[in-house]
Amino acid sequence: MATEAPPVAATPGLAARIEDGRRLYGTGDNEVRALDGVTREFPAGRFTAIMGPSGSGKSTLMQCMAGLDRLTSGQTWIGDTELTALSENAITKVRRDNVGFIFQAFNLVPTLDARENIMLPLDIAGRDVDQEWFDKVTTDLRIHDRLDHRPSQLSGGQQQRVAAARAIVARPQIIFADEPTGQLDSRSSAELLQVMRGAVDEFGQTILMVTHDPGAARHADLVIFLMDGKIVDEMERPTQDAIFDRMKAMD
Amino acid sequence: MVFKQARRNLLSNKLRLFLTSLAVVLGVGFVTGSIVLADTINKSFSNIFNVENSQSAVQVRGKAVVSESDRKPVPADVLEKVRRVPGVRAAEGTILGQAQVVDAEGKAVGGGGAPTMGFNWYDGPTNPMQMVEGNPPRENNEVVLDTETAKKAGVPVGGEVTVVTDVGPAKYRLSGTAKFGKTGQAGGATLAFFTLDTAKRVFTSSGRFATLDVAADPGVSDTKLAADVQKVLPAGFEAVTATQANEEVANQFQSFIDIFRNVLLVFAGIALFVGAFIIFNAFQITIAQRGRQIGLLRAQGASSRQIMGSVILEALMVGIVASLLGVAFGIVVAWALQQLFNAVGADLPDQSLVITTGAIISGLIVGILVTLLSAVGPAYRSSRVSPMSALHPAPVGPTSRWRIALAIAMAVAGVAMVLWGTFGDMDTAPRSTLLALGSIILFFGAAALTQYVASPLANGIGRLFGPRGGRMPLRLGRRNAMRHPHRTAQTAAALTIGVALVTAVSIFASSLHKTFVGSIEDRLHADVVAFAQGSGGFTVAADDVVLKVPQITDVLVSRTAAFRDEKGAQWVSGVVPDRVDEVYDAGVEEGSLGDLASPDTVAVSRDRADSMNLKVGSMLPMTFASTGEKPRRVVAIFKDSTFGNYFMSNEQIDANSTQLRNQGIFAKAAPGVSPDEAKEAVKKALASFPSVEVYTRQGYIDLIGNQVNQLLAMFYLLLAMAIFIAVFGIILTLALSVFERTREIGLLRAVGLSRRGTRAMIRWEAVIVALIGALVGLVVGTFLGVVAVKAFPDLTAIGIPWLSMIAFVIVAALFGVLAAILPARRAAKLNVLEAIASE
Ligand SMILES: Nc1ncnc2c1ncn2[C@@H]1O[C@H](COP(=O)(O)OP(=O)(O)OP(=O)(O)O)[C@@H](O)[C@H]1O
Ligand SMILES: [Mg+2]
Repeated sequence: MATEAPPVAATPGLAARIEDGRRLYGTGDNEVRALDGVTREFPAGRFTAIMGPSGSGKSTLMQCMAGLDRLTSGQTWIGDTELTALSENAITKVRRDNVGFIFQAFNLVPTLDARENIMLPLDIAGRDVDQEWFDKVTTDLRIHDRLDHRPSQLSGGQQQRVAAARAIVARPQIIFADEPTGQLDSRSSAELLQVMRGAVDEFGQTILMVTHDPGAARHADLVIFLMDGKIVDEMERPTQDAIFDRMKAMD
Repeated sequence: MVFKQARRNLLSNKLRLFLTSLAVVLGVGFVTGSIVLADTINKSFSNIFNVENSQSAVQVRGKAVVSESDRKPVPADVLEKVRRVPGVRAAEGTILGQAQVVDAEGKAVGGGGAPTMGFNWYDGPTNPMQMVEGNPPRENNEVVLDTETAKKAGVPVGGEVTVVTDVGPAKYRLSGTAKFGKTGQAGGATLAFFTLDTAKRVFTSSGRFATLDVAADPGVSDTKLAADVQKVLPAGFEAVTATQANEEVANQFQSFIDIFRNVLLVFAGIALFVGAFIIFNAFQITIAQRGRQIGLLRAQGASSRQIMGSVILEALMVGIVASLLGVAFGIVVAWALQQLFNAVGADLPDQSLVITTGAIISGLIVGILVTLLSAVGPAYRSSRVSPMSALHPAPVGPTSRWRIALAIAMAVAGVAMVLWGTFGDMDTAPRSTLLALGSIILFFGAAALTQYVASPLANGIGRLFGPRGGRMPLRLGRRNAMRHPHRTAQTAAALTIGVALVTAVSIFASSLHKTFVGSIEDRLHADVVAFAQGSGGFTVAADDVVLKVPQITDVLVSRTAAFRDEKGAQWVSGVVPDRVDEVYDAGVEEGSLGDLASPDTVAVSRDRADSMNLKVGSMLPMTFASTGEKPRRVVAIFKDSTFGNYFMSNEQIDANSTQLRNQGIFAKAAPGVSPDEAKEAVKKALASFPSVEVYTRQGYIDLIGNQVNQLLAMFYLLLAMAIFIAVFGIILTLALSVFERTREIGLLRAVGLSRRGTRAMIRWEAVIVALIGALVGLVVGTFLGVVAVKAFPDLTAIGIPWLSMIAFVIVAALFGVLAAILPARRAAKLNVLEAIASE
């Protein structure tokens, strides 16, 4: 199974990287610079939050780095693999083997039950699951007794936790989460963030999370601020209030 | 508001519009095509019967005591009497016989279904022929052929041509060519004209005429003349106006064309029925997909009637546009069918397509009605969508008990109606209505029941391909097929219909094959058999030749004649009483075929004997055209009806029939001669009778098998359209599902399902749906096929074509793969980001 996966983790300490990334939409007067020359390294084993006003390019940054979208110019890497040089098929493989996702909504395949949804990336790749790890993650996320349920039988918070479990159980090189708590109540989002935090602390999982919520960003090791497609600021282990103030300043 | 909504919905998904329309277009095309083709054939033949250059006013003929085509010939002295009737300008008698024209290579010209006819030539106003080149036959060794036949035979005027008549082959000088009626076409028939003397000599009519044609003096009306001529006729003959006679022929032909057209229409109806399933399904799915949107409209105050109206209107628009296209396509279908029938040797006369307003209007009405009817259910459903669905898309409700009960009731009612229609005692019209209705209800019931087994079936089939769930795409495909059982069932149902009919037909054919080949293998002891191409039989002149072949013994030349008994017009086959048992075991149960040597005797099959309550020694009244009614003693009752239900001695047949024709030759190889040698010897001896085909016993068995297969192939072809449409139905459902699952597919792609895996997932779903359709179709088809076989007492064996049935399943799976190509490509091409972002 290891033979299938591209040799991604060769450089220790670096999970992903973007170099002078630009992503333009439209042309002429309608041109929008969603990403306007972003360069950044994301060290492994850290929980990074990306914040910024609506339309600042957060989702675009994440999608380009995750191999869901392509840069107009510039380069991105997952580990040592330069995605910008790969074919669609190869990128799919990288996503399958090295990347985990948690989206804001609609994270689960409705025909599969929770267990199958969690196993989906592993099953697609034909990889075996680490059963102990699986049990631990699903227990921590309090979904171990919901594994046989279909998504339609789960609450919104449970669905997000199943999605998180899917990302975490596969132990990808990096997890991208785009407003994963956007549709959750405060208790559910706190639980989800706790588990993400735990994965970083206990297993050195790398997570990149977009959020609007300073309360969520507070759980991150580092908060990066984006505006008009550029990184404008960053904060190490910030307090909620500090983030709040910074956001205020940007508006 | 309603109209705008309907139009916007229509255009919102062009693929759906295209595929639903296609189902209507194909169905309507087939319907219109059938009507146009029938009209065209009709027109071309009515041109032929429209004999404008004949001035014949009245026709004299024997009364139709047996059938329209088998009448008592008119004796020569009647012609003299008719000529003396005041008002008769001219009267001529037509001698009619079979004349096979042979080309330079010794091959038969024409034939193969179309008649090969010989006449006496006469001059005068009643002759429907027009000389084209050369002169009418004046010498007894001269002949005139129709231009087409002369061309096919490759003889120039003045050249020599061989014609086989009742006295055998002879060479004639082609004195000229002529054309028939206005168009010169005779529907593939070959026409040969001799002098009166020659005609009398070469045809077994003993100088009697088939008909007399009478022309009127100026000022004498046809009806008046007919009445006057009637007065001088002996009993058993009638004088009718030529117009009436022509109309009768045309009507007879018309009823044949009607049968042909109705058969085509049945298949067109099947195609349309399948199309209706697809339209229904398409509307059902889109309304489910639009649940939210409809809920929103309702929440904003749209009434349920407005919602229903917009769906109906949408269907109406689809129906009108697609039916218009369908009618246009129908013309193409008619043309293609015309070419197809010609390619298999039907030799339809040249005629540009006849497109009547009736055909166009029928196509339009049928198409629009079917579309509307298919949309009524979904439209009603849409009107039931509550305003709440804007907030919570309603989950598929649990299946209520009475729905299952209804499905079972429909299936049972369908089965009962089919059984009743098959075995009940009734007329053709109510019987066919009952059968058609029963089959339709049965299909609806089967489709409705499929809903409840679709999930377990999909599960089972999916697991067959991957024992422990298989790889991810298979697993996802299986789950998708299980996801909306009613949708899966309806999609599969379209294919079910096709597979069921194909299965039924192949069971029927296989039983036909088994029965006939089986009884021939068991009962035919002849080593050599000979038959003519087509149904016209062949000349009795062949007898002498065959009887002299030393390589064969126990030669039985079988004659045939038409007669009428209480059951209607029948055929009796002639045998040589003391020889028949040597070559053919009829399975005599009572009496003996040897007793047929006594005068006025007949042997009857068990089936007929039972239905007419006959035993050995009973008297059976039989009416022949030339000799009238006479009771005949039943001397034997036999089981096997392969070669007919009635046997008489050849002598008896010769004494009673209007035209002596041979039906077949049966013989054993002489001691020490192999069947092949015997066959070759007979073939060589009959070389100058090119319409006769000689077979060994095995060759004959193979021939029957091939004929059954050809029949089967034709049915397959006619059902192909229905299956074709069903495949479109699968494409449509898949495409709609892909559209519906855009986000889900995006998600799968995001977490690493490759494009290839995505395609495989869709493909598996299609294969599973197709297999469900095929399996249910096999079950329904086996039922229908077995019932159909049971309906024919002549079919004594039931053949279940296992190999074909397995092949159907495989082909169905392949159709699934085929149907998945486009939707799968669409799914694989989805832009992951947009898919995830889509609402
Ligand atoms: N497909 C697209 N076509 C054109 N412009 C786009 C497209 N997608 C994004 N944009 C533009 O790119 C810019 C960045 O968008 P992006 O979705 O990254 O913002 P975001 O920071 O995630 O905002 P939000 O917080 O609202 O999610 C926006 O101005 C947006 O309008
Ligand atoms: Mg965003």
